[in-house]
Amino acid sequence: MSKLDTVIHAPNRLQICAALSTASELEFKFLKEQLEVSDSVLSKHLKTLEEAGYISITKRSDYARPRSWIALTSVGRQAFGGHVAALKEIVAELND
Amino acid sequence: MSNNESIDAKAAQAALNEIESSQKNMQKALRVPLWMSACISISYGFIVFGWGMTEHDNLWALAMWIGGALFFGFVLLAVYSAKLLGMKINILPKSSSGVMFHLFSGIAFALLLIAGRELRLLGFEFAPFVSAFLCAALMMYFQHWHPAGELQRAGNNNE
Repeated sequence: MSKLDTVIHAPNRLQICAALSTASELEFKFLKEQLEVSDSVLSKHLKTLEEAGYISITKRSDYARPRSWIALTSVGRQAFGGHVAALKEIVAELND
Repeated sequence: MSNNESIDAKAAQAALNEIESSQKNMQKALRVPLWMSACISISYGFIVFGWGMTEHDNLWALAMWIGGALFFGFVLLAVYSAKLLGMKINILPKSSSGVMFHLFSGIAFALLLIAGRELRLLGFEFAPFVSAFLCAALMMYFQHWHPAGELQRAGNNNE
């Protein structure tokens, strides 16, 4: 039986992981616009996910413009998959 | 919260809906512009048609290579424009759903490519036209509804 992940379950972090699961990497600004949150709120959630080892943040310069690229790590992808499976199990238990 | 007992089914369903909505929004963001999608699809159809029509004594092989060059050019442009917008597209599938999608779409494209040529060699002269059209239509469909290369379908613009 899969277990819920407290790090991922917070609404904003859930959205961050869901968005990152569909792409290889997303830029900080793009993610901020998708989630409609402030820089500080997004930074806080990203830091929590990074400390858990679920995401990696890479700073790169494109045309002399510094950009932060965020990606789900394989551990993060596995944790997110497990979390989704746990949520589905809870919903399925109700339907049975 | 440490196990399944700690949240109820309603909260779990709400979380699943949020995940689905977030993924659909991302897929919509990943969609390439219609003109670029049309260029990618038509150039791909051109490759299939060129392959279907190629003989030793004709120039369709050249058309196939030109189609291939255009196809890769437009794909690179799509990937580059997505990067400028802050998205890097998954080239290789990273989930089981992505693997299934790539497998099924790969088989469909391969069958159409082979059928177009083989049927023409059997005497069905129209086969490359049909297979090229179907490949281009399928490519356009996948780019619009499955831009992330996952089985999950992207939402409509008004969803």
